[in-house]
Amino acid sequence: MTDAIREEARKILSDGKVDFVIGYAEGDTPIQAKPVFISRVEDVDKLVWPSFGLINLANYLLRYKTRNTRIGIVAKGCDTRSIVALLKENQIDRERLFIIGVNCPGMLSRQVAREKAGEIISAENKGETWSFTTVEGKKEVSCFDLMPSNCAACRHHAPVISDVVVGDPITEPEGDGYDSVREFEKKSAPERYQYLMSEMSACIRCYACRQACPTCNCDECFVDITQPRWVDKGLDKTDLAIWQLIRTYHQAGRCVDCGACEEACPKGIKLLWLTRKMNLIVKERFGFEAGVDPEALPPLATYEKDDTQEFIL
Amino acid sequence: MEKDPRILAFLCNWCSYAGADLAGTSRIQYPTTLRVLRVPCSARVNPQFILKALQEGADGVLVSGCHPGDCHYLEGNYYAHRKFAAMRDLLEYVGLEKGRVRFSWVSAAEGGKFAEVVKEVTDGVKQVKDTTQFLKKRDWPVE
Repeated sequence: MTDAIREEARKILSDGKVDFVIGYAEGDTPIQAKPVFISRVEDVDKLVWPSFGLINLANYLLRYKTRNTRIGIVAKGCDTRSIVALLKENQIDRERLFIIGVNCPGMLSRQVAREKAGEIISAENKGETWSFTTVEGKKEVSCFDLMPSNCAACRHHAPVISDVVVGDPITEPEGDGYDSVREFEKKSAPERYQYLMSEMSACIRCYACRQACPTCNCDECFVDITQPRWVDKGLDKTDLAIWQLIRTYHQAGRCVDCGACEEACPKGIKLLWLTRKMNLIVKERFGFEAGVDPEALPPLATYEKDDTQEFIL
Repeated sequence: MEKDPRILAFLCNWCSYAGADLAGTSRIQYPTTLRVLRVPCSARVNPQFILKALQEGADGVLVSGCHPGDCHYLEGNYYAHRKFAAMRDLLEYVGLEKGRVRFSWVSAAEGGKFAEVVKEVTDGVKQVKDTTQFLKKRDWPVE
């Protein structure tokens, strides 16, 4: 896969189709890839197809919103869906983009690795398993167990839009991927509230989740607005919960479940637990899935006269 | 809950607010639990307002607008409905007790219905066991 990506990147760079290519490079540690911006053909070999690549590269397109550069981008299935969501909101021009779509078999998560192995000092890939040296000692974890919840729930492995596609097509698994949401809904209301509060109490308001997300791109976030101050500064537990609830709400019809927010969280908070529910609400109520249909209007920017109104008195 | 609940009501200027007015001028009796906030349209109500109200000590929140098709701005309440549907489902998911956040359509001619809605919402809020969900505890009295 790495070779195919390099090949395509080399082609578009030497043809002058793009000014630079955004892709993944080896990270500073083996369990974290980093984004790389390649503008010279001789640098193309820095590009890799990572194992731990839960960064959504579509995020970096926003930095070139107002500049007239032509951009090549390596995009997984979810990244292309983010690109569609951004195109829909007129954040980027399709003409300036060259999308190297990748049939993504799923990524591994540093966050899950930490959960499974503990505080990791070094990591090594041994084919089907990863061997971690932790504070407590050595530990082997199979790749399958390192898959984050969003990749396990993914039903859009193939790129939605692309100029070229690399990698072999992947058969989508059965089911709709929302089992974890339905499982959680079986709990009683006080239990669910308790869970919300205990998860969010770990939040330190670093906003890494927001920064990692391509669709969190307001010029001024509601949480930064001081007049009126919707969410107080500080670590009051209701403020923390409301900050995350409103962020989730703002993702309605835009979140593609790429998992970048959860991977970025330094406290390991389960953020997808909320956004995935939002996706399910949007799907069930409005029949919309983010970034799947380039033509469909965003669900909250339109309406149907026969929307179900069962909860209205 | 034992004390009288305090319910924040966002009423749209063109229908529900006039409906409340009609309930008053028609001398219809209904619980005195509502604190009314007039908004230009139900679509003006950002779901943030609802959470903010709960945080600041409202026991319940009611958002009321025109019936579908009757919006003064033609389609505001349709958009509002979509926003509330998404927020309502999310709040239910995170375990907010049922009956604290309600929505209704009340037209300017429905003084009677307005009174009924207030009764129903008040009863609903009275059955809520824990109104401290999302309430921000402060070191000073809120009253």
